[in-house]
Amino acid sequence: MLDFFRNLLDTSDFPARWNCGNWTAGHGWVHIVADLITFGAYFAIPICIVVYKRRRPDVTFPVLFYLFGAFILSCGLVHLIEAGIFWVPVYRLSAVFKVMTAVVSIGTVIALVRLLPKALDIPGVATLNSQLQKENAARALVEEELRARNEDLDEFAYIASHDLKSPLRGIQSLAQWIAEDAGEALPPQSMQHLEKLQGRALRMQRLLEDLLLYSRAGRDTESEELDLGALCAGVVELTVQEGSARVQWHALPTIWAPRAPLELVFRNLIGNAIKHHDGEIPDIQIRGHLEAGFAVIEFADDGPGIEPEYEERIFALFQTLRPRDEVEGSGMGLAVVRKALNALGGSIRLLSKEGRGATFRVQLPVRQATREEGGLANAEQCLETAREGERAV
Amino acid sequence: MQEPIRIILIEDDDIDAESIERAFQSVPLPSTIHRFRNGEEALRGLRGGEAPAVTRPYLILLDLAMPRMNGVEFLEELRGDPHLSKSVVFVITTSENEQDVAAAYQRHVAGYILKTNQAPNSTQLAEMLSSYWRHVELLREVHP
Repeated sequence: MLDFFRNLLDTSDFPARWNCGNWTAGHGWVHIVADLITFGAYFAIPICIVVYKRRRPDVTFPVLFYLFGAFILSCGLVHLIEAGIFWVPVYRLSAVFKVMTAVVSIGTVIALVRLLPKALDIPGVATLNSQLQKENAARALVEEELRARNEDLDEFAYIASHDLKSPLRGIQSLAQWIAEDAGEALPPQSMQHLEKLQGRALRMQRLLEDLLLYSRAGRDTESEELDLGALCAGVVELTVQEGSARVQWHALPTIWAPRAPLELVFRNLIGNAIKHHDGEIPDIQIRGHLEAGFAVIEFADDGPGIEPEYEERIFALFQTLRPRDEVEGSGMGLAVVRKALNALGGSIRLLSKEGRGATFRVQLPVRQATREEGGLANAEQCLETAREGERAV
Repeated sequence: MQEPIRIILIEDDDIDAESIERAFQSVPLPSTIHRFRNGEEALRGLRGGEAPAVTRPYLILLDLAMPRMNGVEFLEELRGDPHLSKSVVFVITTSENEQDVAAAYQRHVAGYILKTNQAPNSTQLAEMLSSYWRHVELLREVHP
């Protein structure tokens, strides 16, 4: 056996094939050319296979690719040697390569047989595509229905709020005229009743407006680059009268979000803090920071505070903590805020604590703008553009 | 025009109508208000028939949302009638709908006013119309 390998390239024991038998030139060359072409192909094919495997690292059965490449190359080499044997009878070398080819081929058969059941389980691309198309069609139907429902809701909310407001205006006017025309003749209790009547009518008007707001909350999807510091300044300017409150904000980041819902959030939280304050001048501190892809903004006031057991209740629809005759409110503000924030992928909660002061924690995803949209490139940039703002109003 | 203001008020809601009437009472210049409840009634009143037509000049205050013939339909009729087409019309309505505003101005209203229930607003409106009446020349006779 050792002799065999030592004489691998020894051709002395055998004649060159041209000299073995009555080869015509034509016949001989057919063998040689066919073998060479086959070698060429069996050399190129594994190259193609390897290129494909390298470009598609996610191919399902990588082992098969290598085995195929190997046995094809090996078989090609056998053909090359066969062609060469016409001149150089390296029959021992030929034997080695033929054995190698046989072994790799059998290995491939075993691998194929093993993997066949698995391969059959994978649905074909055509099946997957048709499945996907069916799912898309179903989803499109649901989206269409959703859009129709939303339109219906919008129309209902608009009509309801519009048509319900009309008799309300009538009630308010009538109460006003009675007060004007018969005010002096009325006993004081009746005047009081009249005032309460006007108050209730006004309350209903606000409720209808808030209801409309609530039904619309979460619809806005037009995002823009929003500097929350500037937005806060704007809201404060509009809603806080000179000297009636002290509002300070720090490090409010710039995010990518729709403007209207954010204004609503700030307006409501600042407004609530002022409305529920029991002292002289409410002090409201608004602080922002970035945390794992979220902009976190805390609204802290120095008012009477909210007991921890009402933590969740305050966000419910139509819930107020004080009787409506003491503090006017539809009870919808926080519900609207929460709905709007949830729709943006954010959240709000009350930070639990005993005693005075309440802090609301608002969380918003910092949407990454794509390069085409321009604007922010990443969260670090947000941090850099966060500004400090302070205003004693 | 120094004579009393003549208003054609086309409004189906009694309280809204009374609002306007009360507002004009608080204005120095005296006024007469002819109230109609919808477009059809108004056209009959303006054209005359059993009762004589309302004398010119006048200002028309028009609500949009009315039963049977609404404000826009009334405007169509008005502008189509050679005797009435040159009337000055102010729309007074609750609708903020852009389409309504466009439809009104397309039919050449002099102004589009939103109703509120705040008394000061109604008074200001009456003052504005009173001022308009005093400073603006309106047609007395119409020769079609």
